[in-house]
Amino acid sequence: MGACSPAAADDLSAELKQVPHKIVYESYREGNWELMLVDADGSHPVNLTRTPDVDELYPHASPDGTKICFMADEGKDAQKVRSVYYVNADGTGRTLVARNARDACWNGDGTAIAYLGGEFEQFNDSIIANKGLFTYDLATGKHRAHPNQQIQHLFNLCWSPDGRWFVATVHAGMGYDHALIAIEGEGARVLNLGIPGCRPEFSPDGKRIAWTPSDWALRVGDLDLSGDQPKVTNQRDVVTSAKPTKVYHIDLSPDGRYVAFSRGSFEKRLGRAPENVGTPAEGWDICVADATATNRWVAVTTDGHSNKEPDWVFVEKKP
Amino acid sequence: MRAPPGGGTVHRLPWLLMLVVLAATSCRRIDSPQTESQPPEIVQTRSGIEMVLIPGGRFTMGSDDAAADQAPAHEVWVDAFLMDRHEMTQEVYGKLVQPNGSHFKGPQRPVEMISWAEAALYCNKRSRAEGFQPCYDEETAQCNFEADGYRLPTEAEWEYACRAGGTTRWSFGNDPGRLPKHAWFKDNAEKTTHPVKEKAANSWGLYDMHGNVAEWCNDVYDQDYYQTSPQKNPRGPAEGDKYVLRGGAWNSSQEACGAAYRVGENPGFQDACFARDAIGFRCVRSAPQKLSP
Repeated sequence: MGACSPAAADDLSAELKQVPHKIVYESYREGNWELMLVDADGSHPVNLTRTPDVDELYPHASPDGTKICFMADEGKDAQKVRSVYYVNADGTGRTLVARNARDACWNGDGTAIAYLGGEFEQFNDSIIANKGLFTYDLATGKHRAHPNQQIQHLFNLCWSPDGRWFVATVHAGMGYDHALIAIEGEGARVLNLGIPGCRPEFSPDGKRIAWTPSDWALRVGDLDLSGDQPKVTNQRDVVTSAKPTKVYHIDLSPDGRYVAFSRGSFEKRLGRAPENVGTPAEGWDICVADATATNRWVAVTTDGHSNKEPDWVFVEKKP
Repeated sequence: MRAPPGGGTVHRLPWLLMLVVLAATSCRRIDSPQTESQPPEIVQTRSGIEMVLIPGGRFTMGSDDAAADQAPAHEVWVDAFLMDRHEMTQEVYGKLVQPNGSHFKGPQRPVEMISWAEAALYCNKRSRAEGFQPCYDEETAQCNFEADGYRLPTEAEWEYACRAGGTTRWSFGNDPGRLPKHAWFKDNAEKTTHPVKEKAANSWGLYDMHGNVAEWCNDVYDQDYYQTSPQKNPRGPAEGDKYVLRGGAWNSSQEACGAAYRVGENPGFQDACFARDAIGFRCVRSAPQKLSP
C-alpha cells in the first residue's frame, strides 16, 4: 500500500480487501510493456502477458470480467504496428481483432469490441493518430465501419452500456480544437458534452461519467444524453492534486463505489507526456479512491513501473 | 535566393561576400533609412524553407507608453541570425511531425495548438534533418545557443526582427488603420487563421509578424525582466512558469499585435492536451559568425 496516501487510506485499504473485483493496468518492466492484474487492494499481482518482444497497452475488461481487450505494439522500425487483441481474463486465448488499430473498448454485453483505425500506414505513437471508428463482432469475426465517416483524432473511446453512444476526447479533429464529445452509436450525430478536460468514461450503469477536468483532478457527474443537448450535472471532484503530481486515467468500479486512477509527476522536459499511452512514466502508480468522497484514496501499486491505464475487472462475489 | 550559411550547398565565395555584407551592416545602426532600402537577404534552407538573414544590430526594445511589462524602453544589441520568413505552416511541419494537430486545417495555414515544448522539439527534428547540431537538451529543455541548429527566437531577436529597423508601435508605423493590410487579427480574421504570406511583409521581408498566430519565443516570461535585462543578446530569466508569446493572433486586439507587446503563457511541458489554437511559432538559427558592436 502507498505510504504517500492520506490518513484515511488505512481504512480504505482494509475496505478494498473485501472488494471482489480486480484491476488490470499497463506496466513498463525491463524495457517492455506488460499487462498486470491485481486485486482491488493491489495484492496478488499477475503478469498476464509475459511477452518481452511485444508491448501490451491500454487494457479494457469486458463488463462480465471474462475478457480483456488491449493494444499491442509489435515489430520494429518500418515493420512496427499497433494492433488490437483480446484475451481471457487469465491471459489465455490471445485473439487478434484488427491490425493498425487502437483505443479498444467493449459493448455492454461483451459481444463486440469498438476500436479506432490507425491514421497512417506507418507506426505513429501519437494519441490522436487515428481515423475511423469500427466495431468487431466476437461471434462472427466481422468488422463494421461506423456511419460517421468524419471520425478522427479521438482518444479514450468508451461505449455506453446500452450501445446508443460513444464518448471520447477529440483533439484537433472533426472541426474541434479540443472537446469531450458523445457520438451516436448508430448515427452520425455528435454532441459536445460541454465539460473541460479529457478521457470521459461511462459508469457501468451508463448514468454517470467520470473524467479528468484537468491534469490535477478527477471528476464524476450524472450524464443525460436523452435531449437535444447533453447534460452533465452533479459534478464533483473525487480526487484533487497539486503540481507536479498528475492524476489521470480514471475508471469507475463495476458497482460505481470506487474509481481507479494513475498518479505520478511530470517534468520540465521535451517529449511525450507521461500520461500518454506507451510513454514510460517512472514513478507512476495505480490508486483507488472512494467515489463518494473527496481525496479518500490509496495507492495500490508502489513499484513505480509506469503503472497506468487501470481498468476494473468484474469478479462475482463469492457467497 | 540561395542556400543558407552553414548549409551543405553553400559556395565559399558567396558566403565570404555575405560575411562582408554582414560585417558592414553590423557596424551601423540598423534603423537607418539605408537598411529599409536594402532589405536583408532571403535564403533557402536545405528543406526549402525561406529564411531572412537578419544582420546584427542595435535597437530600442520595449515601450514607455504601453503596459508596464514593456517598460522601460531600452537599447539592446542582437547578433546576426536567420529567421523563418513566415510562421511554420502545416505543410512544412507535417514533413517531420504527424499527425496534424492544428485546429484550423490547411497546408499553408500556420500550425497552432503547439506547446512551447513541441515547438522546441520540432526545432531539434529540423536541425537533425538538415545536419545541424540540435539546440535543445530534450531532458532539461535548455537551449544551447552555441549549437548551429534551429531554435526559437529570443524575445529580443523577435522584436528586433518585427520592428525591422522601425521604432513605431507596429512595424509599418503608428496608424492602426493600416493594420488590416499587415495582419490577421480580431477585426478581420473571422475567428480563424489564414494562409501565411497573404498580408504585407515588413520591410525586412518577414510575414505575419503581426497577427495570424502568436509566436513562441525561447525566453521565460517575467513582467519585470526589462528592469534588469542585459544590453547584449538578452535571453530571458533563467527560471519561470510561463514563456513569452509575441505578435498577436487571429483573435487579438490591435494592441496585442504591437511590436513591443508581451504576454506569458503556460509552455505545456508534457501536456497531452495542449489546445491553444492561436499559438504557433517560427524558427531561427544563430548566424555562423557572431558580430560584435
